[in-house]
Amino acid sequence: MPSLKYENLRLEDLFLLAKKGDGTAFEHIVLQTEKMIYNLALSVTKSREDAEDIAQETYLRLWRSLCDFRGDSSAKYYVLRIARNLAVDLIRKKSGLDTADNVIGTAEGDFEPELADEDPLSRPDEAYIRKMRAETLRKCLDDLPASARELIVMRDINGLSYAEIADMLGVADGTVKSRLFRARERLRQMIISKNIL
Amino acid sequence: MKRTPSCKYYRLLADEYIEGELSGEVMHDFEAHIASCPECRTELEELRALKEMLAASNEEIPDGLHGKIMSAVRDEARPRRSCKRALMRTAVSAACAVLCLSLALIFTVLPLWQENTGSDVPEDHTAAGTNEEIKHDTVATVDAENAPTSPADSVPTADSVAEEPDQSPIETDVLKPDGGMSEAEVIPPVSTSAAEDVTFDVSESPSPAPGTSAEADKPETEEAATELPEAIETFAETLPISADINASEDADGEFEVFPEANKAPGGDEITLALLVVSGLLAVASFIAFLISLSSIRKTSQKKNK
Repeated sequence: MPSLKYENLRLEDLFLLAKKGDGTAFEHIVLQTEKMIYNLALSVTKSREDAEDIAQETYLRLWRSLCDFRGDSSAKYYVLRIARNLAVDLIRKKSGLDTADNVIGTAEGDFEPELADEDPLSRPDEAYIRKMRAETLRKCLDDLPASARELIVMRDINGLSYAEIADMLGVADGTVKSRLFRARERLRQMIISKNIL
Repeated sequence: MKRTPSCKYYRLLADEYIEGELSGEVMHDFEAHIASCPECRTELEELRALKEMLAASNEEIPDGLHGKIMSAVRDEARPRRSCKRALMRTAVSAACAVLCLSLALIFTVLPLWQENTGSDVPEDHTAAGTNEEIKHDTVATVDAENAPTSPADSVPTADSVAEEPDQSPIETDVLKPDGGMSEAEVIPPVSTSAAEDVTFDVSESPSPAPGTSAEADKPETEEAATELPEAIETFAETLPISADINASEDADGEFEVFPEANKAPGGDEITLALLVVSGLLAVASFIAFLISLSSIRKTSQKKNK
Protein backbone atom coordinates (compact mmCIF):
# COMPACT_ATOMS: atom_id res chain seq x y z
CA MET A 1 0.00 0.00 0.00
CA PRO A 2 1.61 3.30 -1.05
CA SER A 3 2.35 5.77 1.72
CA LEU A 4 -0.12 8.60 2.27
CA LYS A 5 2.16 11.55 1.62
CA TYR A 6 2.60 10.69 -2.03
CA GLU A 7 -1.15 10.74 -2.64
CA ASN A 8 -1.30 14.46 -1.81
CA LEU A 9 1.42 15.44 -4.25
CA ARG A 10 0.81 16.87 -7.70
CA LEU A 11 1.87 14.91 -10.72
CA GLU A 12 4.68 17.40 -11.43
CA ASP A 13 6.08 16.97 -7.90
CA LEU A 14 5.99 13.19 -8.26
CA PHE A 15 7.92 13.55 -11.51
CA LEU A 16 10.65 15.52 -9.73
CA LEU A 17 10.94 12.86 -7.01
CA ALA A 18 11.00 10.04 -9.55
CA LYS A 19 13.80 11.79 -11.48
CA LYS A 20 15.96 11.48 -8.37
CA GLY A 21 15.36 7.74 -8.26
CA ASP A 22 12.34 7.56 -5.91
CA GLY A 23 10.61 4.35 -6.97
CA THR A 24 7.56 4.98 -4.75
CA ALA A 25 6.97 8.33 -6.44
CA PHE A 26 7.05 6.62 -9.84
CA GLU A 27 4.48 4.07 -8.65
CA HIS A 28 2.20 6.94 -7.68
CA ILE A 29 2.63 8.46 -11.13
CA VAL A 30 1.39 5.15 -12.52
CA LEU A 31 -1.55 5.08 -10.08
CA GLN A 32 -2.65 8.60 -11.04
CA THR A 33 -2.41 8.15 -14.81
CA GLU A 34 -2.86 4.48 -15.71
CA LYS A 35 -6.64 4.70 -16.23
CA MET A 36 -6.27 7.75 -18.44
CA ILE A 37 -3.48 6.12 -20.46
CA TYR A 38 -5.34 2.85 -20.86
CA ASN A 39 -8.52 4.56 -22.10
CA LEU A 40 -6.64 6.80 -24.52
CA ALA A 41 -4.89 3.74 -25.95
CA LEU A 42 -8.25 1.94 -26.07
CA SER A 43 -9.91 4.85 -27.89
CA VAL A 44 -7.19 4.79 -30.57
CA THR A 45 -6.61 1.05 -31.01
CA LYS A 46 -10.10 -0.20 -30.09
CA SER A 47 -8.39 -3.29 -28.63
CA ARG A 48 -8.06 -4.06 -24.91
CA GLU A 49 -5.04 -6.31 -25.51
CA ASP A 50 -3.27 -3.60 -27.50
CA ALA A 51 -4.31 -0.98 -24.94
CA GLU A 52 -2.63 -3.06 -22.15
CA ASP A 53 0.57 -3.44 -24.18
CA ILE A 54 0.62 0.26 -24.96
CA ALA A 55 0.08 1.17 -21.31
CA GLN A 56 3.00 -1.07 -20.22
CA GLU A 57 5.31 0.28 -22.91
CA THR A 58 4.26 3.87 -22.07
CA TYR A 59 5.54 3.57 -18.49
CA LEU A 60 8.73 1.83 -19.57
CA ARG A 61 9.50 4.71 -21.92
CA LEU A 62 8.52 7.18 -19.21
CA TRP A 63 11.01 5.57 -16.82
CA ARG A 64 13.79 5.79 -19.42
CA SER A 65 13.00 9.39 -20.36
CA LEU A 66 12.35 10.90 -16.92
CA CYS A 67 15.58 12.86 -17.12
CA ASP A 68 14.32 14.56 -20.31
CA PHE A 69 11.26 16.03 -18.54
CA ARG A 70 12.08 19.67 -17.83
CA GLY A 71 8.63 20.89 -16.76
CA ASP A 72 8.03 22.91 -19.96
CA SER A 73 4.71 21.09 -20.42
CA SER A 74 2.31 19.54 -17.92
CA ALA A 75 3.23 16.11 -16.60
CA LYS A 76 -0.11 14.68 -17.72
CA TYR A 77 0.48 15.90 -21.27
CA TYR A 78 3.98 14.39 -21.22
CA VAL A 79 2.66 10.94 -20.37
CA LEU A 80 -0.35 11.14 -22.71
CA ARG A 81 1.89 12.14 -25.59
CA ILE A 82 4.04 9.04 -25.11
CA ALA A 83 0.92 6.84 -25.05
CA ARG A 84 -0.62 8.45 -28.13
CA ASN A 85 2.58 8.13 -30.16
CA LEU A 86 2.84 4.45 -29.25
CA ALA A 87 -0.81 3.86 -30.17
CA VAL A 88 -0.41 5.60 -33.52
CA ASP A 89 2.78 3.66 -34.27
CA LEU A 90 1.00 0.39 -33.48
CA ILE A 91 -1.91 1.22 -35.78
CA ARG A 92 0.55 2.28 -38.49
CA LYS A 93 2.36 -1.05 -38.26
CA LYS A 94 -0.89 -2.98 -38.42
CA SER A 95 -2.44 -1.02 -41.27
CA GLY A 96 0.68 0.06 -43.13
CA LEU A 97 -0.59 3.64 -43.63
CA ASP A 98 1.57 6.80 -43.54
CA THR A 99 -0.46 9.59 -41.92
CA ALA A 100 -1.76 9.44 -38.38
CA ASP A 101 -5.20 10.70 -39.43
CA ASN A 102 -5.58 7.87 -41.89
CA VAL A 103 -4.31 5.43 -39.35
CA ILE A 104 -6.74 6.47 -36.63
CA GLY A 105 -9.61 6.80 -39.10
CA THR A 106 -9.39 3.19 -40.21
CA ALA A 107 -8.70 1.62 -36.83
CA GLU A 108 -10.78 -1.44 -36.28
CA GLY A 109 -11.11 -3.29 -33.06
CA ASP A 110 -13.13 -5.70 -31.03
CA PHE A 111 -14.61 -3.12 -28.71
CA GLU A 112 -17.92 -4.30 -27.40
CA PRO A 113 -20.12 -3.17 -24.51
CA GLU A 114 -19.56 -5.32 -21.44
CA LEU A 115 -23.24 -5.45 -20.50
CA ALA A 116 -24.41 -6.86 -23.82
CA ASP A 117 -25.22 -10.23 -22.28
CA GLU A 118 -26.84 -8.97 -19.08
CA ASP A 119 -30.61 -8.69 -18.59
CA PRO A 120 -31.44 -4.97 -18.14
CA LEU A 121 -34.51 -5.77 -16.04
CA SER A 122 -32.65 -7.78 -13.39
CA ARG A 123 -30.79 -4.80 -11.89
CA PRO A 124 -32.90 -1.55 -12.16
CA ASP A 125 -30.84 0.47 -9.61
CA GLU A 126 -29.15 3.79 -10.29
CA ALA A 127 -25.71 2.33 -10.52
CA TYR A 128 -26.82 -0.01 -13.25
CA ILE A 129 -28.46 2.85 -15.13
CA ARG A 130 -25.34 4.88 -14.83
CA LYS A 131 -23.29 1.98 -16.07
CA MET A 132 -25.57 1.39 -19.02
CA ARG A 133 -25.46 5.05 -19.93
CA ALA A 134 -21.66 4.99 -19.86
CA GLU A 135 -21.52 1.95 -22.05
CA THR A 136 -23.86 3.51 -24.59
CA LEU A 137 -21.77 6.65 -24.57
CA ARG A 138 -18.66 4.66 -25.30
CA LYS A 139 -20.45 2.97 -28.17
CA CYS A 140 -21.39 6.35 -29.56
CA LEU A 141 -17.77 7.46 -29.21
CA ASP A 142 -16.70 4.39 -31.06
CA ASP A 143 -19.03 5.28 -33.89
CA LEU A 144 -17.44 8.73 -34.28
CA PRO A 145 -14.64 9.30 -36.76
CA ALA A 146 -11.28 8.55 -35.19
CA SER A 147 -10.00 12.14 -35.27
CA ALA A 148 -13.19 13.39 -33.55
CA ARG A 149 -13.01 10.60 -31.02
CA GLU A 150 -9.38 11.37 -30.22
CA LEU A 151 -10.13 15.05 -29.65
CA ILE A 152 -12.99 14.30 -27.27
CA VAL A 153 -10.93 11.73 -25.34
CA MET A 154 -7.98 14.11 -24.97
CA ARG A 155 -10.04 17.14 -23.96
CA ASP A 156 -13.12 15.85 -22.16
CA ILE A 157 -11.77 12.62 -20.66
CA ASN A 158 -8.07 13.36 -20.11
CA GLY A 159 -8.39 17.11 -19.48
CA LEU A 160 -5.64 18.38 -21.76
CA SER A 161 -5.64 22.08 -22.66
CA TYR A 162 -6.26 23.39 -26.18
CA ALA A 163 -2.60 24.37 -26.45
CA GLU A 164 -1.42 20.91 -25.50
CA ILE A 165 -3.77 19.20 -27.96
CA ALA A 166 -2.73 21.65 -30.67
CA ASP A 167 0.92 20.84 -29.99
CA MET A 168 0.28 17.11 -30.05
CA LEU A 169 -1.64 17.23 -33.33
CA GLY A 170 0.50 19.91 -34.92
CA VAL A 171 -2.35 22.36 -35.57
CA ALA A 172 -3.40 25.80 -34.29
CA ASP A 173 -5.41 26.33 -31.08
CA GLY A 174 -8.36 27.76 -33.01
CA THR A 175 -8.44 24.68 -35.27
CA VAL A 176 -8.59 22.42 -32.21
CA LYS A 177 -11.41 24.52 -30.72
CA SER A 178 -13.57 24.43 -33.83
CA ARG A 179 -12.92 20.72 -34.54
CA LEU A 180 -13.76 19.85 -30.94
CA PHE A 181 -16.95 21.85 -31.07
CA ARG A 182 -18.07 19.95 -34.17
CA ALA A 183 -17.12 16.58 -32.62
CA ARG A 184 -19.10 17.29 -29.46
CA GLU A 185 -22.06 18.45 -31.45
CA ARG A 186 -22.08 15.21 -33.41
CA LEU A 187 -21.77 13.14 -30.25
CA ARG A 188 -24.50 15.07 -28.56
CA GLN A 189 -26.88 14.37 -31.42
CA MET A 190 -26.09 10.64 -31.22
CA ILE A 191 -26.65 10.61 -27.47
CA ILE A 192 -29.95 12.47 -27.72
CA SER A 193 -31.10 10.00 -30.30
CA LYS A 194 -30.41 7.18 -27.85
CA ASN A 195 -32.15 9.02 -25.01
CA ILE A 196 -29.29 8.96 -22.52
CA LEU A 197 -28.74 12.68 -22.12
CA MET B 1 -34.98 34.29 -28.22
CA LYS B 2 -33.28 34.63 -31.55
CA ARG B 3 -29.73 33.42 -31.61
CA THR B 4 -27.38 36.30 -32.13
CA PRO B 5 -24.06 36.00 -33.95
CA SER B 6 -22.43 36.43 -30.66
CA CYS B 7 -24.01 33.16 -29.46
CA LYS B 8 -21.68 31.17 -31.71
CA TYR B 9 -18.72 32.97 -30.09
CA TYR B 10 -19.96 32.20 -26.55
CA ARG B 11 -20.75 28.55 -27.44
CA LEU B 12 -17.11 28.09 -28.35
CA LEU B 13 -16.17 29.46 -24.93
CA ALA B 14 -18.53 27.14 -23.04
CA ASP B 15 -16.04 24.29 -22.77
CA GLU B 16 -13.32 26.59 -21.35
CA TYR B 17 -15.82 28.12 -18.93
CA ILE B 18 -16.76 24.65 -17.63
CA GLU B 19 -13.05 23.74 -17.20
CA GLY B 20 -12.41 27.04 -15.35
CA GLU B 21 -10.05 28.35 -18.01
CA LEU B 22 -11.80 31.70 -18.56
CA SER B 23 -10.83 34.74 -16.49
CA GLY B 24 -11.23 38.49 -16.22
CA GLU B 25 -13.35 40.38 -18.71
CA VAL B 26 -13.97 37.38 -20.98
CA MET B 27 -15.53 35.36 -18.15
CA HIS B 28 -17.62 38.35 -17.07
CA ASP B 29 -18.97 38.81 -20.61
CA PHE B 30 -19.72 35.09 -20.93
CA GLU B 31 -21.65 34.97 -17.67
CA ALA B 32 -23.59 38.07 -18.68
CA HIS B 33 -24.53 36.47 -22.00
CA ILE B 34 -25.53 33.15 -20.40
CA ALA B 35 -27.76 35.02 -18.01
CA SER B 36 -29.53 36.72 -20.90
CA CYS B 37 -29.64 33.82 -23.43
CA PRO B 38 -31.69 30.70 -22.45
CA GLU B 39 -30.56 28.66 -25.47
CA CYS B 40 -26.91 29.22 -24.69
CA ARG B 41 -27.68 28.42 -21.04
CA THR B 42 -29.31 25.11 -22.04
CA GLU B 43 -26.42 24.16 -24.29
CA LEU B 44 -24.00 24.99 -21.49
CA GLU B 45 -25.81 22.60 -19.13
CA GLU B 46 -25.94 19.86 -21.76
CA LEU B 47 -22.25 20.22 -22.40
CA ARG B 48 -21.53 20.04 -18.68
CA ALA B 49 -23.53 16.78 -18.41
CA LEU B 50 -21.81 15.33 -21.47
CA LYS B 51 -18.37 16.10 -20.08
CA GLU B 52 -19.32 14.52 -16.77
CA MET B 53 -20.52 11.40 -18.57
CA LEU B 54 -17.40 11.29 -20.67
CA ALA B 55 -15.18 11.72 -17.62
CA ALA B 56 -17.04 8.86 -15.91
CA SER B 57 -17.00 6.70 -19.00
CA ASN B 58 -13.37 5.85 -18.58
CA GLU B 59 -13.11 2.11 -18.47
CA GLU B 60 -11.43 0.64 -15.42
CA ILE B 61 -8.04 -0.91 -16.08
CA PRO B 62 -8.01 -4.70 -16.24
CA ASP B 63 -7.04 -6.63 -13.12
CA GLY B 64 -3.31 -7.21 -12.90
CA LEU B 65 -2.34 -4.48 -15.32
CA HIS B 66 -0.88 -2.30 -12.55
CA GLY B 67 1.25 -5.23 -11.33
CA LYS B 68 2.45 -6.00 -14.84
CA ILE B 69 3.42 -2.37 -15.40
CA MET B 70 5.39 -2.08 -12.12
CA SER B 71 7.09 -5.45 -12.66
CA ALA B 72 8.27 -4.39 -16.11
CA VAL B 73 9.58 -1.06 -14.78
CA ARG B 74 11.47 -2.77 -11.92
CA ASP B 75 13.09 -5.18 -14.39
CA GLU B 76 14.11 -2.21 -16.50
CA ALA B 77 15.56 -0.36 -13.50
CA ARG B 78 17.48 -3.22 -11.86
CA PRO B 79 20.25 -3.85 -14.44
CA ARG B 80 20.97 -0.11 -14.63
CA ARG B 81 21.71 0.12 -10.89
CA SER B 82 23.88 -2.99 -10.90
CA CYS B 83 25.66 -1.75 -14.00
CA LYS B 84 26.28 1.49 -12.22
CA ARG B 85 27.65 -0.32 -9.19
CA ALA B 86 29.87 -2.50 -11.35
CA LEU B 87 31.14 0.60 -13.11
CA MET B 88 31.90 2.21 -9.77
CA ARG B 89 33.80 -0.85 -8.61
CA THR B 90 35.81 -0.88 -11.81
CA ALA B 91 36.54 2.82 -11.45
CA VAL B 92 37.78 2.37 -7.87
CA SER B 93 39.99 -0.57 -8.86
CA ALA B 94 41.44 1.32 -11.80
CA ALA B 95 42.14 4.35 -9.62
CA CYS B 96 43.94 2.16 -7.05
CA ALA B 97 46.01 0.49 -9.75
CA VAL B 98 47.07 3.79 -11.26
CA LEU B 99 47.90 5.15 -7.81
CA CYS B 100 50.13 2.16 -6.99
CA LEU B 101 51.87 2.39 -10.37
CA SER B 102 52.48 6.09 -9.92
CA LEU B 103 53.93 5.60 -6.44
CA ALA B 104 56.16 2.80 -7.73
CA LEU B 105 57.40 5.04 -10.52
CA ILE B 106 58.10 7.86 -8.10
CA PHE B 107 60.09 5.70 -5.72
CA THR B 108 62.05 4.21 -8.62
CA VAL B 109 62.75 7.38 -10.53
CA LEU B 110 63.46 9.68 -7.58
CA PRO B 111 66.68 7.99 -6.46
CA LEU B 112 67.86 7.86 -10.05
CA TRP B 113 67.23 11.55 -10.42
CA GLN B 114 69.05 12.33 -7.21
CA GLU B 115 71.98 10.27 -8.38
CA ASN B 116 72.11 12.09 -11.70
CA THR B 117 72.11 15.51 -10.07
CA GLY B 118 74.81 14.40 -7.62
CA SER B 119 72.92 15.58 -4.62
CA ASP B 120 74.26 12.77 -2.40
CA VAL B 121 77.99 13.50 -2.86
CA PRO B 122 79.59 14.11 0.54
CA GLU B 123 80.21 17.69 1.55
CA ASP B 124 83.89 17.42 2.23
CA HIS B 125 84.74 16.64 -1.33
CA THR B 126 86.50 19.98 -1.92
CA ALA B 127 90.18 19.83 -1.34
CA ALA B 128 91.76 22.30 1.00
CA GLY B 129 93.69 24.90 -0.83
CA THR B 130 94.16 25.96 -4.38
CA ASN B 131 95.50 23.94 -7.22
CA GLU B 132 98.85 25.45 -6.57
CA GLU B 133 98.75 24.21 -3.00
CA ILE B 134 97.68 20.80 -4.17
CA LYS B 135 100.63 20.66 -6.43
CA HIS B 136 102.82 21.69 -3.56
CA ASP B 137 101.36 18.95 -1.41
CA THR B 138 101.84 16.49 -4.20
CA VAL B 139 105.34 17.59 -4.60
CA ALA B 140 105.82 17.48 -0.88
CA THR B 141 104.51 13.94 -0.83
CA VAL B 142 106.82 12.99 -3.61
CA ASP B 143 109.64 14.67 -1.80
CA ALA B 144 108.80 12.88 1.40
CA GLU B 145 108.83 9.57 -0.37
CA ASN B 146 111.86 10.03 -2.57
CA ALA B 147 114.02 12.86 -1.36
CA PRO B 148 116.63 12.11 1.24
CA THR B 149 116.13 13.67 4.59
CA SER B 150 119.75 14.68 4.91
CA PRO B 151 122.68 14.82 2.57
CA ALA B 152 124.45 12.15 4.53
CA ASP B 153 121.73 9.66 3.78
CA SER B 154 122.40 9.90 0.12
CA VAL B 155 126.01 8.99 0.49
CA PRO B 156 126.75 5.33 0.50
CA THR B 157 129.00 4.64 3.45
CA ALA B 158 131.66 2.16 3.77
CA ASP B 159 129.34 0.10 5.89
CA SER B 160 126.81 -0.07 3.14
CA VAL B 161 129.52 -0.93 0.72
CA ALA B 162 130.89 -3.43 3.13
CA GLU B 163 127.51 -5.12 3.22
CA GLU B 164 127.90 -6.10 -0.33
CA PRO B 165 131.51 -6.87 -0.84
CA ASP B 166 132.65 -7.62 -4.24
CA GLN B 167 136.08 -9.03 -4.09
CA SER B 168 136.37 -9.89 -7.69
CA PRO B 169 138.66 -7.67 -9.68
CA ILE B 170 136.91 -5.43 -12.15
CA GLU B 171 138.12 -5.58 -15.64
CA THR B 172 137.31 -2.78 -17.84
CA ASP B 173 138.32 -1.49 -21.21
CA VAL B 174 139.70 1.97 -21.16
CA LEU B 175 138.86 4.17 -24.08
CA LYS B 176 141.80 6.03 -25.38
CA PRO B 177 141.58 9.54 -26.69
CA ASP B 178 142.26 8.31 -30.20
CA GLY B 179 139.34 5.95 -30.05
CA GLY B 180 141.23 2.87 -29.54
CA MET B 181 140.97 0.70 -26.59
CA SER B 182 143.78 0.13 -24.21
CA GLU B 183 144.41 -3.17 -22.68
CA ALA B 184 142.16 -4.08 -20.01
CA GLU B 185 143.20 -2.64 -16.83
CA VAL B 186 142.50 -4.41 -13.71
CA ILE B 187 141.03 -2.26 -11.14
CA PRO B 188 141.54 -3.69 -7.76
CA PRO B 189 138.47 -3.98 -5.68
CA VAL B 190 137.87 -1.39 -3.20
CA SER B 191 139.15 -2.23 0.16
CA THR B 192 136.46 -3.25 2.46
CA SER B 193 138.37 -2.31 5.47
CA ALA B 194 136.08 -0.82 7.95
CA ALA B 195 138.69 1.72 8.82
CA GLU B 196 138.47 3.48 5.52
CA ASP B 197 135.59 5.82 4.77
CA VAL B 198 134.74 6.18 1.17
CA THR B 199 132.80 9.21 0.11
CA PHE B 200 131.24 9.88 -3.17
CA ASP B 201 129.97 13.13 -4.51
CA VAL B 202 126.42 12.53 -5.70
CA SER B 203 125.47 16.02 -6.81
CA GLU B 204 125.23 16.85 -10.45
CA SER B 205 127.27 19.88 -10.07
CA PRO B 206 130.91 19.60 -10.66
CA SER B 207 132.76 17.98 -7.91
CA PRO B 208 133.58 20.33 -5.22
CA ALA B 209 136.96 21.59 -4.87
CA PRO B 210 139.14 19.40 -2.65
CA GLY B 211 139.32 20.58 0.83
CA THR B 212 135.80 21.65 1.27
CA SER B 213 134.17 20.47 4.45
CA ALA B 214 130.98 18.43 4.88
CA GLU B 215 129.20 21.44 6.38
CA ALA B 216 129.99 23.40 3.25
CA ASP B 217 128.25 20.66 1.23
CA LYS B 218 124.98 21.00 3.19
CA PRO B 219 123.66 24.23 1.71
CA GLU B 220 124.30 22.84 -1.73
CA THR B 221 122.28 19.70 -1.10
CA GLU B 222 119.48 21.67 0.50
CA GLU B 223 119.50 23.92 -2.47
CA ALA B 224 119.34 20.85 -4.67
CA ALA B 225 116.46 19.52 -2.63
CA THR B 226 114.42 22.69 -3.13
CA GLU B 227 115.37 22.90 -6.76
CA LEU B 228 113.70 19.54 -7.41
CA PRO B 229 110.27 20.52 -6.08
CA GLU B 230 110.53 23.76 -7.96
CA ALA B 231 111.29 21.85 -11.11
CA ILE B 232 108.30 19.62 -10.53
CA GLU B 233 106.18 22.64 -9.83
CA THR B 234 107.28 24.31 -12.99
CA PHE B 235 106.54 21.17 -14.93
CA ALA B 236 103.15 20.86 -13.31
CA GLU B 237 102.25 24.37 -14.33
CA THR B 238 102.77 23.47 -17.91
CA LEU B 239 100.28 20.64 -17.63
CA PRO B 240 96.74 21.50 -19.01
CA ILE B 241 93.93 21.40 -16.47
CA SER B 242 91.99 18.17 -16.93
CA ALA B 243 88.59 18.54 -18.50
CA ASP B 244 87.24 16.29 -15.80
CA ILE B 245 88.33 18.50 -12.99
CA ASN B 246 85.62 20.83 -11.83
CA ALA B 247 87.21 24.23 -11.77
CA SER B 248 84.27 26.02 -10.29
CA GLU B 249 85.08 28.16 -7.34
CA ASP B 250 82.88 28.25 -4.34
CA ALA B 251 82.45 31.05 -1.85
CA ASP B 252 85.64 30.23 0.05
CA GLY B 253 87.80 30.38 -3.05
CA GLU B 254 88.21 26.63 -3.02
CA PHE B 255 87.89 24.61 -6.12
CA GLU B 256 86.16 21.34 -6.46
CA VAL B 257 88.69 18.98 -7.85
CA PHE B 258 86.69 15.80 -7.81
CA PRO B 259 85.25 15.16 -11.26
CA GLU B 260 81.51 14.77 -11.55
CA ALA B 261 80.12 11.29 -11.65
CA ASN B 262 79.48 9.64 -14.95
CA LYS B 263 76.59 11.47 -16.44
CA ALA B 264 74.61 10.44 -19.53
CA PRO B 265 73.86 13.33 -21.86
CA GLY B 266 70.17 14.45 -21.39
CA GLY B 267 69.54 11.91 -18.63
CA ASP B 268 68.66 14.59 -16.08
CA GLU B 269 65.80 16.00 -18.09
CA ILE B 270 64.29 12.61 -18.85
CA THR B 271 64.28 11.48 -15.24
CA LEU B 272 62.89 14.81 -14.10
CA ALA B 273 60.11 14.55 -16.67
CA LEU B 274 59.34 11.00 -15.55
CA LEU B 275 59.22 12.19 -11.97
CA VAL B 276 56.80 15.02 -12.78
CA VAL B 277 54.52 12.75 -14.81
CA SER B 278 54.49 10.15 -12.03
CA GLY B 279 53.61 12.78 -9.50
CA LEU B 280 50.74 14.13 -11.57
CA LEU B 281 49.43 10.60 -12.21
CA ALA B 282 49.53 9.86 -8.50
CA VAL B 283 47.58 13.02 -7.63
CA ALA B 284 44.99 12.45 -10.39
CA SER B 285 44.40 8.82 -9.47
CA PHE B 286 44.06 9.71 -5.80
CA ILE B 287 41.41 12.32 -6.62
CA ALA B 288 39.57 9.81 -8.86
CA PHE B 289 39.71 7.28 -6.05
CA LEU B 290 38.15 9.75 -3.59
CA ILE B 291 35.39 10.69 -6.07
CA SER B 292 34.56 7.03 -6.71
CA LEU B 293 34.39 6.33 -2.98
CA SER B 294 31.99 9.23 -2.37
CA SER B 295 29.76 8.11 -5.28
CA ILE B 296 29.60 4.59 -3.89
CA ARG B 297 28.73 5.97 -0.47
CA LYS B 298 25.90 8.10 -1.94
CA THR B 299 24.53 5.12 -3.88
CA SER B 300 24.55 2.99 -0.72
CA GLN B 301 22.74 5.70 1.25
CA LYS B 302 20.06 5.98 -1.46
CA LYS B 303 19.58 2.23 -1.43
CA ASN B 304 19.25 2.19 2.38
CA LYS B 305 16.59 4.90 2.19
